[in-house]
Amino acid sequence: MIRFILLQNRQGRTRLAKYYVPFTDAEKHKIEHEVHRMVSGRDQKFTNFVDYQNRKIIYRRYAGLYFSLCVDSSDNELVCLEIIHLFVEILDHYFSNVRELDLVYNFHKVFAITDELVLSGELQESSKKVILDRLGLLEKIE
Amino acid sequence: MGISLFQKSLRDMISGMRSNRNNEEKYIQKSMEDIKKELKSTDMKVKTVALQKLTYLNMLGFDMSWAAFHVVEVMSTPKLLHKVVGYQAAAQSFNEGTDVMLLITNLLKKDLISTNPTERSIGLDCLSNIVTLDLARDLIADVYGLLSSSSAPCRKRSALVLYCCFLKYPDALRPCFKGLVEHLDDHEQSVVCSVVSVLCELVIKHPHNYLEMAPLFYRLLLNSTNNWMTMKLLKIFGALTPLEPRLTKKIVEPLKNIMSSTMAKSLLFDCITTVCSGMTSNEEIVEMALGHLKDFVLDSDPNLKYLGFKALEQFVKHIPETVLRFGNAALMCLSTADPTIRSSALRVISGLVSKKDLKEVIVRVLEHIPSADTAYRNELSEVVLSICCRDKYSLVSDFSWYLNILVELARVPGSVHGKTIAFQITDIACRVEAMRDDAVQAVRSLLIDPFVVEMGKSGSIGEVLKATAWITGEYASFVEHPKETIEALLQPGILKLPCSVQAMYIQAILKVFVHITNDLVCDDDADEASQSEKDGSTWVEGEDDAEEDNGDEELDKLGVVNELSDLILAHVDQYSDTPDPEVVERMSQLKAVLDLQKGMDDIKDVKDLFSKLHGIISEELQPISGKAQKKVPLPEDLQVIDPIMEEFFDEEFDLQQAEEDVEVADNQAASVTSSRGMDAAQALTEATEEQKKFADETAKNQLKQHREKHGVFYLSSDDKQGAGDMGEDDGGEVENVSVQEPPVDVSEDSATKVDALTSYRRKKKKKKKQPTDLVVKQDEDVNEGVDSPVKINKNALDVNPLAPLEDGEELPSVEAYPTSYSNEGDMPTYETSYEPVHSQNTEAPPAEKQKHKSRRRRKHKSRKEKEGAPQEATAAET
Repeated sequence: MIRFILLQNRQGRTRLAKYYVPFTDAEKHKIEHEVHRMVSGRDQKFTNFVDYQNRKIIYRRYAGLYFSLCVDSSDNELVCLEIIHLFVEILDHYFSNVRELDLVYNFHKVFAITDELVLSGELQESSKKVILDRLGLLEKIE
Repeated sequence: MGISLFQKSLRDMISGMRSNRNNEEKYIQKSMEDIKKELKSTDMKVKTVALQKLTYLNMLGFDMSWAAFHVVEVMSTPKLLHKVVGYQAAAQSFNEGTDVMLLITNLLKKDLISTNPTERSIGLDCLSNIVTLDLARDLIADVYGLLSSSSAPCRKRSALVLYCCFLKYPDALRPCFKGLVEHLDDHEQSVVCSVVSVLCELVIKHPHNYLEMAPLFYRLLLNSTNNWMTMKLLKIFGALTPLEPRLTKKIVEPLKNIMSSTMAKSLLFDCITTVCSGMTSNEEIVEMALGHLKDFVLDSDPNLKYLGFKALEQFVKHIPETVLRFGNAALMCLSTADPTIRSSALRVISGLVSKKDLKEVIVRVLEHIPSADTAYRNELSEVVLSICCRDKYSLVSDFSWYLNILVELARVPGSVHGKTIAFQITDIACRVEAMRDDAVQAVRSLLIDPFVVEMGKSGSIGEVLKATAWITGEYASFVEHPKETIEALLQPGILKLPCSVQAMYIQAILKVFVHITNDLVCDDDADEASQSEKDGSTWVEGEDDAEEDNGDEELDKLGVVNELSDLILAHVDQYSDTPDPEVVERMSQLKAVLDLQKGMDDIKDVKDLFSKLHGIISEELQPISGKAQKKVPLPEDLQVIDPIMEEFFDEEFDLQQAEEDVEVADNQAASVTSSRGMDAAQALTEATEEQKKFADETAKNQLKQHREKHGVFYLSSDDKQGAGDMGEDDGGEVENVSVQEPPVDVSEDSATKVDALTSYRRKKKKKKKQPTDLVVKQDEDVNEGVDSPVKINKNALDVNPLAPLEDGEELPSVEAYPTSYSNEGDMPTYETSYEPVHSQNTEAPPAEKQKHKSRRRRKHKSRKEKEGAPQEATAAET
C-alpha cells in the first residue's frame, strides 16, 4: 500500500502532498522535511530506495523535482518506480511538456490526476490512455 | 459584496507569492485574512475560490481546520465545478477529529447513489481519503452496492474504496466478501485487477484465512495477461506458500514460465521474491532464481544491485549454502559509496560466514574501517561483533586472534560499541580459562596507551577500559610487568574517565598490589619450607646463615614492597577530590591496606596480612547459569500448597497450576511455587479442559459443514493421507484459533471485573507459543478474535471471511440496493401466491419470517378478505 506521494523541489518546497494514511498537520510537516533531507542528500549514482521508519521511500528526480513514494516494506520497488514514471508521463501529456510552474499553478488538477492514478493507496489504473480519457471528460465539466 | 470584483484567484495568489519572495510570510498572512472574509460571503463562487486558495496554503503547511464548516457548505453545492473544490479540500484537511464529519454522511450518500457518474466518482474519491468508523459504517452498503454498477470505472473504484472501509470498519469484511470475490470473474480487466489488489492486501496481512482461495488465485495466475495483476497474484502466493507447502509444487510451472519469458525486471524480481519467501524447498526453481539474481548483482545499475542483495538476504536466511557463491561479490560491494547497497551486502555476508572462512572474511571487512566514515565504521564493527558472538562464539576457533580483533575494534575512533566489546572480552576471559593469559596481554596495550585513555573521556571506550582494569585485577597472576602495570593504572588521565571506571581502576590497583606482594613475600616461605625438608640435615646447622641470608633477601623484598606502596600512595591522592562516593570508598580501602602494610616492620606480619588478602582476592568469580535459581531445592518445612485463607481458595485454579508445569522436573512443591507467580486474573480467565474440548468439537463440526458446502474451494489431495493432513491442518489451525476463545462460563463475575485487556497464555503442552492479547467477549463467535485497542486496526481484520456468516452478520440495510445474502436460511422468499385466509380465522397465517413487506401485504389482504367475506355473506343472505 502506498502511504503518501510527495513532490518536492530542490529547495524543499512541496508541490504536491497526497497522504493515504491519516496524519496530523505537524506530522505531515515533519515528514516532508525529513523526506526532503534524505532524498536531496543522496548522490545521483545511489539507489533510488531509502529506508524510512520501517517502510521504504522510493524516489526519482525529474529535472528539479523529487517524486517520492512511501510504501510498505513488502512492496516491490521496481513497480513503484514504474508508477512514478507513469505519473510523470501522464502529467507530461496532460500539460504538454510539463514544467514545475504548471504544477504550481494547477495544483488542483494535479490532485485530480493523482486521484485517477492511485486510490486508497493502491494503483487504480495502469493504462495511460484510459486515465487521459477520463481526465478529458472531467475537464469538459469545467 | 464588492469582494468578488477584487477577489484574487488562485493564480493571482500564487503569482503574488512568487513575486513577494522576501516577505512571503506577510503576504500569506494577508491572503489568509482575505480568505477568511471571503469564506463568509454568501456567493458560492467567491467561497469556492477562497477555499481553493486555502487548500493550496494548507498543502504548504498552514492550518485550515477552522474552515471545516465552510468546506461542508461548498461540498453541498449542486454545481459540480464547486463541489469538486469542496471535496478536494475535505480530502486534504478532514481527519478523525473533525467535528463536521457527521454532516457529510448524507451528502456522500447522495453522491454515491447519484445517477451522475462524475458525482459518484468524486464521492468515492473523497470517501477513500477521509473514511472514519462512522462514515464506513453508514456508507458501506452504498459502496458495496456500487460494486454491481454497470459502469466499469465505478466498479473498479468501489472495490478499492471497500478496502479502506474495511480498515476502519472490520465487521464489514465478512458480509461483503462474497460479493467482492464474485467480481474476480468480471469481464473488465481493470475491475479484476482492483479486486486482486484488495485481496492482496488482505492476504498479506492474514494469509491463513485465505488458503481456501488458492485454486481461484491459481486460475487467475494462469490466465493473467496484465503484468500488474500477475505481480499482485505472485505476492499473494508468496504469502500463502509458507503455510501450504503443496502449493509450491503447483506454482512451480507457471512461475518458471513467467521467469523465462518476461522482459520486465519488476515482474522478474517479484517472482524471485515469491520464490524466496516460501518455495525454497524446490531446488529447481531456486537455481533459476539464483541465476537471475546473479545478473542483478553484477549489473551496473545500483537499483538492481541493491535488489539483488536484498533478495539474497532472504535466501541466506533459509538456504545459506546455495548463496555461498555470492560471497565474493558481496565483499566487493563493501567498498561502494552507496550506503544502502553496503548495508545489504553486509547483511548477506553475515549470513554466509562459516567457521572455515571466518578469519578471512573478518579481515576483509575490517580493511574497510580506516577509510570509512563514522556511521559506516560502526556498522562494520557491529557486523563483526555479531558474527563472532553468534551462538556463544560457535564460529570462532582461535580466541587469541579474536581477542586481538576486539582490542583493534576498541581502538576505532568514534565507536559506539564499547559496551559490547567490553562484555565480550570479559566473557571470553571468564569462560575460557586458557585465554586468561592472552586476555591480560591483549588488554595491556589498551591499559598503557595514554591515547586510548584520552579517547575514553568521551567515547564508549571507557567501558572497554573498565573491562581492561577488571581483567588485569582479576587475573593478576598473569601480569608480566607488575610495576609498569601499576604505573599504568595510576596515570593521571584516568581522572577524566567516568567514575565507575575510576573505581574499577582503584580496585585493580589493590588486587595487583596484593598479588605482587604475596608473590614476593609469601611464596618464598613455601620454597624455604620445601627446601628445608629436602636437606633437613643441614637445617639446624646452617640455620643462622640461612636466616641471615634470608633476612637480607627479605629486607630487599620489603623494600620493593614499600617502594610500590609509596608509589601508589603518592598517586592515589589525586582521587581525593572526586565527588563519587564509590571512588572515595575504594580509595580509602586501598589507603588503609597500604598504611597497614607500612606500619608493619616485621616481615612476618606482612606475610600474614598479604597471604590472607591474597586468599580473598584469588577466589574465582564464575559466571552463573540463568536457570540456577530454579535448581535451588526448597527447604522441607516450607508450606506453599496449603491455602492461606480457606474461603478464598479456588480449587479449579489450583488444579490448573498443577497441570501447567509439566516441564519442570523438580518436585511438585517447586513447580507449584514457581507457577504461583502467574497473574491471578490470567488464571481466572484461562479456559478449562472441558471448554477447550467443546470449542474444538464445535470448530470441527463447523469446518465439516463448510467443506461440504464449499467443496470446490478446497485443494484436491492426491492421496487420502493428504486429505487427512489437510483436515488436520485445518483442524489444527481452527483448534489453535478456538483455544483463544474466551471462556465465558468460568466465572462471569470475575470476567466482568477483569479488564478488557486480559492476556491469554497457551497451554505449555501444545508447545506452540504465540501469545496474543484478546478481549473477553460475550459472543461465541469461534473465528473472530479482536485485539486489544492498541492493535485493533491491525488484527481486527484477522477473520475468516470464507466461513459462513452468523445470524447477526449483515451489511447495514440499504433500501436502494438490496444486499446479497450468503446464508440460504436468510434468503428472502417473495411468495408469488399465498393461501387465502378463512374468514373465521382472525389471525394472520403464522409469519415465520418477519422481514419483508410481503408479510404486511399479506396481512392487509387477509383483513380485506375478512371484511369482504362477511359482506358477501350478507349479500348472499339478502
